[in-house]
Amino acid sequence: MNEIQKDPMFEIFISEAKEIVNSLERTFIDLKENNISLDAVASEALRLFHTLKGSSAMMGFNDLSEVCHKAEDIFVCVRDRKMIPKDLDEFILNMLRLVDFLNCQIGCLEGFEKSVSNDNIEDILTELNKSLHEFVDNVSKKETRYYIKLFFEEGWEMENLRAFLIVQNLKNYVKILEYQPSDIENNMQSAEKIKKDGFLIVIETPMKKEDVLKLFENFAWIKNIKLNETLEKSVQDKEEYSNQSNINYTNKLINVNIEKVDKLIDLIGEMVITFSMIVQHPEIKGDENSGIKNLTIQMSKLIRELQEVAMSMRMLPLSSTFQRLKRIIVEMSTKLQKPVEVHISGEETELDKVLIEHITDPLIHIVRNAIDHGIESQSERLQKGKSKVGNIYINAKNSGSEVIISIQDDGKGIDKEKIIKKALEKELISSADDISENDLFDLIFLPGFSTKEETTEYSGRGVGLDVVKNSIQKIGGKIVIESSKDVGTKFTIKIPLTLAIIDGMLIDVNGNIFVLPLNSIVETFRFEKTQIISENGVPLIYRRGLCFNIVDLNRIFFTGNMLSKIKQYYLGILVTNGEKSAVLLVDNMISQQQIVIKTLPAILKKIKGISGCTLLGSGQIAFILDVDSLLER
Amino acid sequence: MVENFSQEFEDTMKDMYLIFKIDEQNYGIEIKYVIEIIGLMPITYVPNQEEYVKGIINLRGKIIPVIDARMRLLKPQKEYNERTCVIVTSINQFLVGIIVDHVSEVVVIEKEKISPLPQTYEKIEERFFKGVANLNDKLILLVDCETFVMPDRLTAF
Repeated sequence: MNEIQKDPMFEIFISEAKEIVNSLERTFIDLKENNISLDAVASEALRLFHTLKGSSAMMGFNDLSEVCHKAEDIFVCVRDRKMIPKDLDEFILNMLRLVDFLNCQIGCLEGFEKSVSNDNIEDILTELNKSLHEFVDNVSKKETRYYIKLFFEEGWEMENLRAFLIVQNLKNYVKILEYQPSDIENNMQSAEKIKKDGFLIVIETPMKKEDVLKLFENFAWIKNIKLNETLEKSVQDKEEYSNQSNINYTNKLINVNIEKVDKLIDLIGEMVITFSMIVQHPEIKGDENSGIKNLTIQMSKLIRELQEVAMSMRMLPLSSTFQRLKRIIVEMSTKLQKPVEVHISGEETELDKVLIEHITDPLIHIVRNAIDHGIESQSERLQKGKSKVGNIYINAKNSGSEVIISIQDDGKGIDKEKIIKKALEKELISSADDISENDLFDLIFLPGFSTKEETTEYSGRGVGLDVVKNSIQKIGGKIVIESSKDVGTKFTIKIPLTLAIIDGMLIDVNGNIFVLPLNSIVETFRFEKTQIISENGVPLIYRRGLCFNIVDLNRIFFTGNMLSKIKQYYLGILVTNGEKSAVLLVDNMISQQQIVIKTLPAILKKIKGISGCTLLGSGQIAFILDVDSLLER
Repeated sequence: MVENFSQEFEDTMKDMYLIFKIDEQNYGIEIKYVIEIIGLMPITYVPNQEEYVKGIINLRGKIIPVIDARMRLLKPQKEYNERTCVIVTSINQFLVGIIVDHVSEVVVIEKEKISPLPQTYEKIEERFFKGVANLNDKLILLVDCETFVMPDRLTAF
């Protein structure tokens, strides 16, 4: 069963379908923002729906292909100016609903769930149709006969099968009179014949020549195509169309299964380890004069580059996430009648694919908050002397090993009085002067701390900012709020570039190597036993005017006690997670290096203080310390 | 087609058991769980685990836990020697290594030759074994791989 789930055809279908739905969404949003004409939207949407229809029919997902077919009908009418939308906004909203529906359907297919019912979609389609004005239909029904000759790209084999698929697909749109060779279904020899002479199809249809050609656009393996209204050969035609089709089929991107990329990264990791074993090998290490030394230096450069390229393959630009945010803003602002202009910058900033998945929901939440709670109604804005149209700025940028994403609105800002009132009610603070501004905004990340009185369609569903903070913290990120009254609110989120690689310090505890993430280290220092204050058996250390807990790693992971060892001095590392700090006691500091994080096997019991493990150059396993849980002790 | 193939593949492994020894007792483990047999390699100690979980090893870049079959069966510990080996198994997509005294052979044991263990048998054994087989006067205890390898807290789910 596992094997069947991983059917490559299915995977390709899903990823293509998702891409198509994304493009559809983008097209409609462009229309909303007047970046593109209705005509262009219609033909683009037509093309996309058509492709999706074809591929879903081929995979046997008839529900999906039917919906696409109906959508196609609508856009044919729009393109041919038989109908135009009455109210463009409503038309776009309906289209977006359709996009949501498709997204949902594809999601269901991907997860092998029962697909959602089609009742909903009927409504959407009816409404779509209703939002269009009907024009008189007077298109001639005269049918033309076309002779089409196809040549396939070389090196893919099975030409007969591909020809068969094309014939099957064409049947949906045109009347097929004949095709040659005609025994493509069961005669393997026909493949050779097609390779040599091409594949001939004779069809009859009222469509225009260009539209017929469009039908073939979606078959990826066609090298060139020739279309005539008579059987005569026309050299000029052939050249013209072969050029055209070549442009269409060059694509710079390919879809790769993420598991394959992970496997590749794993393999490269192993290669790095093996290579370091080679370098450490006594026969090579001892031989200073041979050329091998130079070769190994060169090789290590190559391997490092290879590693970087492989890691970058997991990285995706934030553009599609931002696109989604924009879409939500467009939709909400129409519904709540708060016109909003979206300013996006830095959408080309790249982030690990897994991280992108984790931050999308929090970002959506923040954007919703911004429109719902932040941006004022039009009249309110005018009263305050602001422009009628609100602004939301979404920005992303790289900063060292972090990506910083900010979402800013020019709305009314967070009401500090309300927060203070609520905090007093909940007895979180004893008086209004009790809390600094920074801490005050942090309060709204607490569970159940919503300042919104009424619930609307978009908020007040019981999901608060605490969920946002949690999911960002889960991926090692941080979130900060700045806000001032009537000026606006700004959320800033900092996330590590990738989860897979971190800078770490290798430390020795009782002869075992552990890795401490570099970003949690404040300082390292030596101290003598006399500097320790031990009160009730809890060792504390005083440093730069502050008192810190001492965490004895030896005691936590093994049964030893480092302080009982008689040493001239001890090694401490001051670590922090931004809120709490403590001093870790270690035997030795070894080195600092980049490490690849691996998860611990799931069947092991969870170990407090350890977040994962990594492989060192020697092949040895080292545990990665989890500073957060160490500080909890 | 894929299904047929895996079906066939499974059929050829049907009734096959890998026999390993602890002291003089033979144990059988279904071959479909076995990925490979490797010699002992450096084991990294993992804190806070059951005693029979010896730690984790690096098997060509994969981190897998290893458990000591002796200790799992509550037998006295013995020093590892050159005959000690690790049977790498895959159970519900988890890779787990089992440390045994040594492996001897692969045999076919038909279902008819397997007898259940008596109910009165010690509780732990009831859970760990699927039955006992008599093969040429050799008694083989057939291990229930899933309960044997999975920590108790997981089987409780």
